[in-house]
Amino acid sequence: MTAADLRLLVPEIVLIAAAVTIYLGGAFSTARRAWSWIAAAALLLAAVALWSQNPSADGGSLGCDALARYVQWFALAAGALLVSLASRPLRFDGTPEYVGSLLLTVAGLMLVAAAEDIVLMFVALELISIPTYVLLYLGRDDAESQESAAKYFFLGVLASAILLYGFSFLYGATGSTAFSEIRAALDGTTILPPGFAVFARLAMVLVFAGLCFKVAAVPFHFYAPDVYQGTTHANAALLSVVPKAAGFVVMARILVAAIPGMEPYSWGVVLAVAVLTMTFGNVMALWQDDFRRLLAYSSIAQTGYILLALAVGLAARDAPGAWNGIVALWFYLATYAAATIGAFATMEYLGRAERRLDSVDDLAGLGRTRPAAAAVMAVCMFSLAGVPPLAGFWGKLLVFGGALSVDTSGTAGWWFTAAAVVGVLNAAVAAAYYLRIVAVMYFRIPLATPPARGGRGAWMSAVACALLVVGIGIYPGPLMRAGNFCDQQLPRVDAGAKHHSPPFGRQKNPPPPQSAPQFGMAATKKVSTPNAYHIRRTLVLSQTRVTTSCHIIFK
Amino acid sequence: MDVLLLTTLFLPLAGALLLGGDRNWARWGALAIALAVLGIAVVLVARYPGGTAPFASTDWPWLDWTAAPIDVRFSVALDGLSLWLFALTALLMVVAVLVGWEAIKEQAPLYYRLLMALETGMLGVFVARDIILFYVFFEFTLIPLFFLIGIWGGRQRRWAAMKFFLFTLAGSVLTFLGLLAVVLWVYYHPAPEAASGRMTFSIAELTAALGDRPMDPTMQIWIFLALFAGFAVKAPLWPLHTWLPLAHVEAPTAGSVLLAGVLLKVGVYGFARFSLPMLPQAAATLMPWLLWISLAGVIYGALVALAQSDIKRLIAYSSVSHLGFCTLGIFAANRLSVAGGVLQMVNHGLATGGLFAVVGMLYERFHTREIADFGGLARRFPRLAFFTLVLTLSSIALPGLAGFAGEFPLLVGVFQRGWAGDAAPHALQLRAIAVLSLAGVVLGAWYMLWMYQRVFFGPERTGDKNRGSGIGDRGSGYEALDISNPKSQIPHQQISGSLSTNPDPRIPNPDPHTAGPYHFPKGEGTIRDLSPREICCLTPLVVMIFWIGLQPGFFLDRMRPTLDDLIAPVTRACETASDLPTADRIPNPESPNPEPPLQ
Repeated sequence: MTAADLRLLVPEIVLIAAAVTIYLGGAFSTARRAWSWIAAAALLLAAVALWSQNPSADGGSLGCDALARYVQWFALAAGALLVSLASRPLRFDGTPEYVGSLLLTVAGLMLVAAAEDIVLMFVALELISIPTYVLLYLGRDDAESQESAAKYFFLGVLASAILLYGFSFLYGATGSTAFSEIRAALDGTTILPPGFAVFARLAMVLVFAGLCFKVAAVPFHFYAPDVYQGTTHANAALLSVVPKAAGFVVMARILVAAIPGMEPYSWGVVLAVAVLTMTFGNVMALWQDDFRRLLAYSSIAQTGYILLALAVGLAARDAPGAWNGIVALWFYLATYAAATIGAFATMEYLGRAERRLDSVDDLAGLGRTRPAAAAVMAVCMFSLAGVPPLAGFWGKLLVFGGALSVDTSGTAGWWFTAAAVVGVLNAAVAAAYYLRIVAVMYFRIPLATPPARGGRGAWMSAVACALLVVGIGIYPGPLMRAGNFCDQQLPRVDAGAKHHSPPFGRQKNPPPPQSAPQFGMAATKKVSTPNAYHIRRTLVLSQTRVTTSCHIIFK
Repeated sequence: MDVLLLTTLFLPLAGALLLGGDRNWARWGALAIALAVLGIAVVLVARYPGGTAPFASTDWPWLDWTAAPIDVRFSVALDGLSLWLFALTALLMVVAVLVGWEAIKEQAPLYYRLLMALETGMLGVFVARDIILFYVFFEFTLIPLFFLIGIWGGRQRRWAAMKFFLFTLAGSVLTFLGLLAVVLWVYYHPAPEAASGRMTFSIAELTAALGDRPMDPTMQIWIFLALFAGFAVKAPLWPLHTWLPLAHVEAPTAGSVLLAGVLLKVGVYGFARFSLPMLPQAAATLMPWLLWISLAGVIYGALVALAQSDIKRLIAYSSVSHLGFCTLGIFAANRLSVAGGVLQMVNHGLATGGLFAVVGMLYERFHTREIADFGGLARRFPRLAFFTLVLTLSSIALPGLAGFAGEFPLLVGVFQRGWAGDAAPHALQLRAIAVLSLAGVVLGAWYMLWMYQRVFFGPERTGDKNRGSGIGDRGSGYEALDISNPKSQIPHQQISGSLSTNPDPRIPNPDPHTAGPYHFPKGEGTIRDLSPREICCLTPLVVMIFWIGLQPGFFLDRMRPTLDDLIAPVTRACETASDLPTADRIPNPESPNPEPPLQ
């Protein structure tokens, strides 16, 4: 830990300090509003600290590339929206714990974004998970929420164990925990003893499986509908944004950047999971009546689209600019998060502490009783459905454009084209249930006017989300550009060695050369090759150590 | 940058965002905006210079991104293909605002805001010169219409709105993939001299690029099918038309007018704008298939229309039939047929839009749309009968009216395509199609005139629910419909005082014993012929129908250069196909081979 590292950590430190202060102060005062303001101030302070950081600083295990920056800003924005969303007075006295845990998850997401080391990344992921378990338990004593919290906890621990198991193979195969060294060990510049590539492949599968839980991808999605339904709107919003963002960051860092040479295997796995996830989520969502359950399936389906972008990123990393999937991933994630938080915030606003709005039918006639709230909800739903000119449309444009750009000289292009067709048809299926919510709001007779006592914070959060969705829809350029920087600074395998061969058969001119800045490139560092015996020993030891420690932690 | 054209796009959008207040403010505001847009459209049409150069163009960067080569632009312009559809949209929007003037009572500001949003979307579709911008407008039109059908529609409005949206969306997402594939193909196959790695989305540039470097035929067919999915649902082509009757019948009158008048044309417009010029080889290869599908729509729509008992449903199916004619003309890709097809789109918008407005007026008066509930209306409602007659006759293509001016060149073009030469591929099929399409004309005359006869001639039977009860017990239907129902939506302006106190000379028979259904026995009042508002609503349509019918050259000349450019690639593709000395292409009369030759 150097001084540079510490300076990079200032925003996270601010957030964690604020969280600790709020936890402690909560013993003396439980005024919800005051703690929400303090949390908002902490987020603002962290934003200032992030803004004033020197972007070129390079601290060992902490990265500060564009991807880290993007996700950190994303985390702060999402954190502000969530704090605002959850700012109404609750029935129980757990307010400070609630706000503090929220800040910890935001800090965790920021750390995940910056982590350049397996261990730090795992710790940061736990910094998201453990406060989330607390949030799910807080102040909820009915059986349903107990079930949802228990389910999330046990499955979350299991997923962490799988992830850690994958990390241990990665460490065992390469002898290092730093991404740059892992990359260097695997990208062909260093000769590994024969058979070691298998470990990397195993690591890839295990890491991806563990992360599938975080992003709620099939077949690790089963918890999501139950957990969302059993918890509050605020928690559901948190679950559908923060762990997902963290999961995708780790996927990008490890699958795309840190395990070079695995793409021929990984894109197939990711693509299959993507298609299954979007189809399963969309089809299941058609039959849901509970709002949070419906949005849970919606978030599963949206994960499918983001995974499709990731698959494109793995298969066509060298495709030009917007079409290589990684840009689409970050752009899509942001538009999805804005629309989803907006939908949950509207629901929170429309309810009241004693009576929450749970079912889709509770929205009947909202277009007449609460026109503004209905408009916000409709904007979010249309954006999630991908109808232009809202933000979601541009996300779909990038994802499907990327899928069509994948090289057709092999079978990959064929698979991706088929996936794009399945994807757009899925978008049409998804429109059915998003529109159903809109139809219930505008086409049905109002049964009762929703109380709309969810607080000004929830309303502000909802309106901000709707404005974001419309604003990005009208002028998507800046956000896409930000996504592009993420892509350019994410290390490539070897930009010169592998040319992207374009889709649609022949090619007359080579595509314009990529001039992406290369950070921490593989070629610059070389790991001293460990001998086979050493590696095997390390592998076994590290597995034993890591898995037992994992068990100890969670028992 | 052209201020006028931009105003037509952004003025309604501003209206959609800002209109408010009470019902009166909203509807007068909407009318003012629609009239202003119509005025600008007239100015633009008057200034249109002809030729093939885009007119009144604005070209702004929208998503210009140098790091990635994407170059999506906000690019709008008029040309010969879009000119008349653009003007038609502006005209029909005035009609649409007027037809709902009295009928829309609930949430009126929202209604007019949605209409204005729809106007921006519809105008935008026709003027967009960038693929993404086109698609944005194309999809955006769904949202206001979804609400218009779902909130102000008939009994099955919710289902109709959902079905409309989902059908159209399911098709158009595939179109989206197809358009993206076109863009990417052009990007990955740049011209040898082109140095910039810019990914263009400009329709003109893409068309030119695909003209220089055509795609390989298999790829063309795949992309053609992807584009076809969305445009065919939108048009709608048989057998993808099933959403249309439901949406039409359930939509409020303005929704039906705009749906039939403008939105169906978007599909055909898409074929003419994208499918033919960009994928000429596929269009030529698939031509018999496409023509058969269009012909099936023509005949099927006409036959089903014959069997309808509901006027609105009848007109909805007649749209399927007429749009089949339009696509027949477009897909035949002959100079005459395409010009006729585009003009036929305009005519259909005028005639069918007007007929839907008439149905709305009938429904406002009698609260029924069953043909069997009407009879002999011509005597009591001479003005309504006159306007309906002109619209009907134009719809069945009477010479001298607009329908003929479009249908005649269209059919001549189709025949020319069929008799282009014995060596032309599928000559026999094309001839069969040309001959059979005449059956559609006959059937069209049958169901339209039969409907007109049953509603406007014969014994008076207006609004009488007891069908066939004839003259004897008239009037009971009114009591049942209006007086006993306090929530009756007949506007007060149309129910004047009782006959004895009403000196209106338009009511020809003041004797209450013979006045029949137009008399409220309890002295409530009468149902009148067209009000000045409704006459204002229908007159421009009728004037345009006569103008196009009597002076079609004025309209055809302005679009012809552009259309010739658009179909030139298909013509070339057809010629090369027929020039090839392959004997097996000459169809065998015993077993006409429907398989398109894949080259």
